[in-house]
Amino acid sequence: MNCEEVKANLSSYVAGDIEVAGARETVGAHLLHCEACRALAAEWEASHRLLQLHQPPEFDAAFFDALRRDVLRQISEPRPSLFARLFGQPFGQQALTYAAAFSLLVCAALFAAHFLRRSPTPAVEVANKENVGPVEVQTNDTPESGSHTVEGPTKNVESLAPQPPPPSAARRRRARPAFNASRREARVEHPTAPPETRDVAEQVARASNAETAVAEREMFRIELQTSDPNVRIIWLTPRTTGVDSSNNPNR
Amino acid sequence: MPSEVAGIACMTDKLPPGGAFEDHGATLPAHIERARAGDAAAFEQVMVCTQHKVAATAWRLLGNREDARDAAQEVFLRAFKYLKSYRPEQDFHGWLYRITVNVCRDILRRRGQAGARTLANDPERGELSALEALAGESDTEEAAVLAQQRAIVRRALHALPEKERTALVLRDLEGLSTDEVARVMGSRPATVRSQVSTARGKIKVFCERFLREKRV
Repeated sequence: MNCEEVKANLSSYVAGDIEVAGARETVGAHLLHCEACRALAAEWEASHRLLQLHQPPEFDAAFFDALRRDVLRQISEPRPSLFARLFGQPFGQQALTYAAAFSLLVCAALFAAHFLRRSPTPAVEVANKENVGPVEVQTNDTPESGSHTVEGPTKNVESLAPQPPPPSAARRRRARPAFNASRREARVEHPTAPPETRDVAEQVARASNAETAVAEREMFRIELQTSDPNVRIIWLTPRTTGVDSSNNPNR
Repeated sequence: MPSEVAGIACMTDKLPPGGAFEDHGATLPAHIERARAGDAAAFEQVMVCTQHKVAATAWRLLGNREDARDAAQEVFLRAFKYLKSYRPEQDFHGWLYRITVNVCRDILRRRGQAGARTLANDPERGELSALEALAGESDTEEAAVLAQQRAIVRRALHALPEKERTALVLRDLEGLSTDEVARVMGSRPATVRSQVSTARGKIKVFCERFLREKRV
């Protein structure tokens, strides 16, 4: 047996578990005359001795008494039922907690949905117009219900509901034409507007109906919507300039 | 009672304080038989016979007292639960070793997931450091070196992969043969030989390097 073979078996030789028949004697004989292998065997012996230091501490009687007591207590406890094993264990408790939280969440969501469906209060804003021009009634309850234009001179009409946040620019652009010519009759642009909104528009139109004819004879109104949805240019000009409208038979 | 079971010796390797400890070698198989029938008192006697060995093995595998206690408790609970599946012709030592190794493996995996009770926050490490300090103060150099070496071995063992550590502990510290270790671990003897050899080499390298660094 050469040095390499001996080195491969040295750890087993030192630990005493060489299992090949006769190998132990062969390694022992090699170590007698090979100093290098002997030094390596000494290192393995030191390591093996070091490993033997890994001994447990002295466990006292109280340690084992408590151990046996706990084991016997758990053994003697009645076996929990299937339901208790499913729902009484930590996982079961967690599952119950999760189920309760989920139920609360579902209830809250249903309540919120029901409440929102019952009170679709439209935010109605009527622009403040004086005597002439169209009156715009804006609603923001649904994307489809844009603004409703009621034309004709009106009295002061104030906002009928708390001011909602300004609608998007795109919706305003679609709802308000850049140029509004005067018309004689009040008109609700969107037929699907909520009834409350239509009522307000009709009331406004009716209230101003008496004054409409006189005012329109006197003034001409032009509205220009700028790119900023919050800025609108309203141009009021007397109709008498240029052609006398009262004498115009086409009017 | 089967003759194979009658030959099982008690696993107790240490006598309790006071020295009055009866020899359970002859009575253990009878206790096992009664415990299999559900006799809790008999099972307590089985525990008395085997508790030292179970706790010591668990400590060697886990490295601290609290985990060893938890492991021993779980080992006996599992043993009682599965005692009916134990066949009397089996080696009770090996059967209990196998449960111990499995329980310790589960605890180590849980510990690895939770990151709990590592060597860094192990109270016994603190005790060891205190012992080293005390040894240093009293100028007993041998005690200090011994404490230091124990700490090194513990760290080296815990640096090993789980299977290598188990094989090494069972083979070199518990004194089981390679075949017995293979049965306990559920692997082949050749695999165990390889694992033990690798683990020994790693322990040697680790300890030599650590001792060299300490000297420097």
